[in-house]
Amino acid sequence: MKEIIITNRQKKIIIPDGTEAFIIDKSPVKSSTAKKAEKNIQIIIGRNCQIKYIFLASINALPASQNRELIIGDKSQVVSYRAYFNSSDNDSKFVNRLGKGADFESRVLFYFSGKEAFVASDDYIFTKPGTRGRFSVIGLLNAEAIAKYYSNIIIDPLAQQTDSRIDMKLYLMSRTAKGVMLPGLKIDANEVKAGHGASTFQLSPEDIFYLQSRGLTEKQARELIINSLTARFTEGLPAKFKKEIAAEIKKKNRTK
Amino acid sequence: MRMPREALKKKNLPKKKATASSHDSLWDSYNQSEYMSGTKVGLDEKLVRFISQEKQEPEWMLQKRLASLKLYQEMPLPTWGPDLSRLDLGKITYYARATDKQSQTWDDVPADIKETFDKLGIPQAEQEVLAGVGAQYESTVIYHSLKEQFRSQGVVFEDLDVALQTHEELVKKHFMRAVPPTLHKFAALHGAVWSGGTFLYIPKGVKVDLPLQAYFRMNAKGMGQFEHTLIIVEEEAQAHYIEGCSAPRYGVDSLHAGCVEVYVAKKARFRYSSVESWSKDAYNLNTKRALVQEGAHMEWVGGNFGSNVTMLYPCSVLLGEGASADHLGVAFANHGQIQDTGAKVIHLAPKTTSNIVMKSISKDGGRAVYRGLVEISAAAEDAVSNIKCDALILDPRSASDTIPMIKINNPTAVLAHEATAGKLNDDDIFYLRSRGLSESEASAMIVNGFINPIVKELPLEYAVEMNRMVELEMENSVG
Repeated sequence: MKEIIITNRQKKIIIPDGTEAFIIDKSPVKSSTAKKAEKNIQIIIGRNCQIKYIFLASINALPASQNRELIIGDKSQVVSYRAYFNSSDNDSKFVNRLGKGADFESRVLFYFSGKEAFVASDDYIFTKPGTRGRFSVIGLLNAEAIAKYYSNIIIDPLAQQTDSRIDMKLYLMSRTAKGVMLPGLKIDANEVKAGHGASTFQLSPEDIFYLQSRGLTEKQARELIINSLTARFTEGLPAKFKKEIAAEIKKKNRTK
Repeated sequence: MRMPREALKKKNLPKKKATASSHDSLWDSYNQSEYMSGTKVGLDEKLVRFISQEKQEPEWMLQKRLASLKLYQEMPLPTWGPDLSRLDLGKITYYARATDKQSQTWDDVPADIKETFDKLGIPQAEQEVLAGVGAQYESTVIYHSLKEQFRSQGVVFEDLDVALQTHEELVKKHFMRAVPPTLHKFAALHGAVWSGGTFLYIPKGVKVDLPLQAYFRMNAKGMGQFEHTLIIVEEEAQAHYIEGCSAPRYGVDSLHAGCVEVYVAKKARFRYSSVESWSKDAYNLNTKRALVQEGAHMEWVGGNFGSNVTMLYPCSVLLGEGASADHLGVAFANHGQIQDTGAKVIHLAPKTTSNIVMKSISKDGGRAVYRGLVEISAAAEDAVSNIKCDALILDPRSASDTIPMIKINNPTAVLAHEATAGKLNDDDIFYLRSRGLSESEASAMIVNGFINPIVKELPLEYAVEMNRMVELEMENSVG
């Protein structure tokens, strides 16, 4: 599959019908001049496309407001991978619109520590019939990090026979981290399947005891858990992206 | 919540002939309200002083009312939730007294008012299944009784106006502490014009094994009802209290902004059930909150069927270690209705648990909304919360929203939220039709099964009636 790399200057990207590609969208890296980036991009994907969209805000990325509108054409299959590791003052708003018969899977991973703060909002808007969506969010918060994540499925009256679900999972790794989750449903059609789930995750003392009895330290045990959570996120990505994300997580594990 | 037996029998007529209005006729019969000629529309300080003076309240209550009025005048309408801009607060009658005295036997209740409660089945229920009954008509309580066996154990079940005279210190200590007037505009409005309601006090260790009931009825056009329910359950006590509400439809907005405060002491258990069937031109903006102490348990069981717009989110504040709360609710949004309901649980202590189960049904263009908040504070070590909400959307014109806010400030919290939305399963309807049921009956049966986890928590009589209410709402739902 070919790679389409989004540059910092682009405002609108149109993907022709029938395209098979990776779209790479990386947040700008810190520089001495810029304070906070604001990036608004519209991505229009044509019909019958097969796309893997990869968004990465690395640990060195500039604090940013990341706003995207993703318009998915009829019968296209799109998998979106979004990972956020960058430092404080981040916000993100993604609006995703699904065409008739489109199949959209969205995976989000965020990992913050120190005094980092993150606010994100995703809207998954179903306007046409016969669409399918699976959306997941995994959040890791350490030290005094704070995250607020709003994720909404919106089904318009004409979007009958849609099938959608959001799952949100939050892992607080310290006593001072705080998280807010809001998985919302707004449904104006009746012949639909829609659901959402949200849960917290914790490493119980029993789990840690077991892993320690197998020779791991508590820190290693926690890293093992983080690796297993992120492995679910990166499943299906080419090896080079998996490595890039694993490296980011490793760096993040070292931050306080 | 009682249904008149005559009306139930009437409903057993062939359902094809029933009309959507047949259900409303049950609530829509009303008495002439001559007493309204002396009442005033709108709200000002003079009216607040008049209410307080007429009730011969202590000075502290008047001051509380006046402070609430000031807050009400300063606070904006909520910017979230259903649109309330159509509600003309200047056209509401905030206080009306239909009768001068409160009775302890139904024979002493004025005939026209008694007839209303007869139709609603209240006196009969009192004889059969209840420990005590209160009945409020417009702004004042017209009847109150409590079985002697509970009175002798120290249980107090009174109209709150009366309790303010007879148990002033208890009222003063608790009144609007769980629901302060600063909470929102309608809590402030309530603080200014509250009238009537219930005062229930269960002494330490007393277990009241029969439910206590209060029934609130708005009769006149453009009325506002602001009853205050204050419940104090002392250590290791137990009780179950049920509220029912209704009003006739006039085509003019009416307003219900009641308030329920429950104080559940250490190791006590309390269940509050309500079935609200206000008229479909009423705004039901009710506030309910419980403060739950160590090892105590609070249960909210609610059914919301009536009103044009409902905004109702019972709240449990879990203050003591091991406190727990269950919130079970059903909302039925029929044509033109917005049922914006939900639950709020604030975990402030270790080992607290909460369980929220909400079911909603939307039909004929109705919109059902689940709006909830679960907050786990930093001090709430090992808190557990489970939230489940399911929505049924019966036709393409209807809608459902789910807005569950989850705030986690403690890493030891275990929380799971699950929600689904969908329609009636065609195969289930086909199967039931093959067994001889009409499409409407089949739909009603499936909907009753859907809400069963909540209904089964009500006493049998009430459960049967809630099922009947669903069947009535479901009439003409198909074809």
